Amino acid sequence: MRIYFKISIALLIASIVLASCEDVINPDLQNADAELVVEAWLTNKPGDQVINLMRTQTYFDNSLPPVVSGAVVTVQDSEGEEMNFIEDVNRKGSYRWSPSLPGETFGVVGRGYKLSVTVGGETFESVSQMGRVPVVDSISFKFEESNAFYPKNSYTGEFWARDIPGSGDTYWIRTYKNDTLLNKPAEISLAFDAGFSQGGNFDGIAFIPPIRSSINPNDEDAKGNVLSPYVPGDSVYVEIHSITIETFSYLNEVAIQTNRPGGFAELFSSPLSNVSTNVFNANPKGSKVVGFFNVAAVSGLGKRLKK
Amino acid sequence: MLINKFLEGDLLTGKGRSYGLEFYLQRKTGRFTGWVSYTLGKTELKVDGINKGDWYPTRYDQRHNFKVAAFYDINKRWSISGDFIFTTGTPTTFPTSRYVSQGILIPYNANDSRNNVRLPSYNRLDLSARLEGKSIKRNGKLRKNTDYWVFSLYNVYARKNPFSIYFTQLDKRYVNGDPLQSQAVQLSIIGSIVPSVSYNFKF
Repeated sequence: MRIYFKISIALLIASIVLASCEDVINPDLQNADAELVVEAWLTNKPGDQVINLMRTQTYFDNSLPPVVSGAVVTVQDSEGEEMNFIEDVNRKGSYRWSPSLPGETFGVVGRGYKLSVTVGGETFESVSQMGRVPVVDSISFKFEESNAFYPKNSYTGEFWARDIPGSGDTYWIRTYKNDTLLNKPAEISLAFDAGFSQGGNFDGIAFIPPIRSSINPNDEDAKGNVLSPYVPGDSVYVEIHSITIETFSYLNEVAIQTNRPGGFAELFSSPLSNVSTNVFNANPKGSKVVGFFNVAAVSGLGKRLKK
Repeated sequence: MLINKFLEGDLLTGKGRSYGLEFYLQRKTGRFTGWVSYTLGKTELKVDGINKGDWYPTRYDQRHNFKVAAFYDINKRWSISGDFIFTTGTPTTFPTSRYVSQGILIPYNANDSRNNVRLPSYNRLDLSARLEGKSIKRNGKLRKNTDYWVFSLYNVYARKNPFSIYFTQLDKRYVNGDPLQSQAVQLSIIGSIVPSVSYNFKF
């Protein structure tokens, strides 16, 4: 009997190992026309502000997106002030606004903004607003000999900031580790007031712990071992961007559609659907457009983990 | 979604319709028994805001569903059986295009269609053999216990039947300015042959 017992254990293990498998494949896709993509994410950070115009590519085209040159791009604020974005001669498809005075930044908190892109005889429009943003008070690191998610002797970071009282503020937390933006789909970190969503009712308090600790990258080494998010000598820079509620919804959709870890998570995934856009053709019967326009106020703070 | 006070605001309603036709043939007597079944079906949904408001096949739509099962008694102790299943692939949504937003690769269906393609078909063959335990002891008396062995092979030709195909950017850190790499991944659950042996007894 013992031999059969051994065989059945072996088969059990084998069936777990073989239970699911993933293969990269190359299916045929339906054809579609290229559409205009408007990437207009403006901030009040020092320096130039850039709007990029591109076209959609077929899904498996892994080259840089084709740029759209020769457009007229302007942004007008609710006080009637007009900012012109001039195409960069060295980088076609990039439209740049430069401060006219040293130290001048783009935008004023509380004002509304209207984007207008005219290209190929068509005008595409969008509106946004620059919301308020709280300061990042501090960043702290914690050393733990054991942690459920990270290896032994890991350093994890947290940033501390307090949501501005008054419900309805939406933020996007962006983290740079050693000057590299944490920009995987799984690393999109959004806050509605101090919590994840409107229903959470976290208003005017410090960001809740999962948001505070969303600055920790989940990186693996070549062998697939999880790494400590930070090691002594690393630097971290945390930015809070104020975003509109439309942008908050958009980035939530982007996270759902692009954060596909695969494996058994696929059993519960939602079907592929298009993320929203807040850019529209002034002529509803004209050609289609995708992309997003947001004007953010940004606060930031950096810290280096001492050796 | 669960903490939304206006839950109905998160749901879309629409109409559904389904049609079907079934055939079933069975042989119950003799050493060779079995059945064949075939179902032709179509289930569709029409929801405002999905698939441009047109009818589209549901996740569970199976145009063809063909199943065969056969059993054969070789002798008093050995019997073998096999079954075969073929179903049309599950409808699913593939993107047509891609674009980059804030450094993230967005899959985009420029035709706004839902369930616009079908996964490859599902088909599988299983075989098994059953060995009855001896009913008479060496001394000629009837045994009190009955027992049997079953040897089976699931998914004999080890087809990787796709459960889903998903589209994603390659999981790595992109340096600013690098083009993002897209890929399609097919997930198969039990994508190999699974042998099994079981021993059953009554006492």
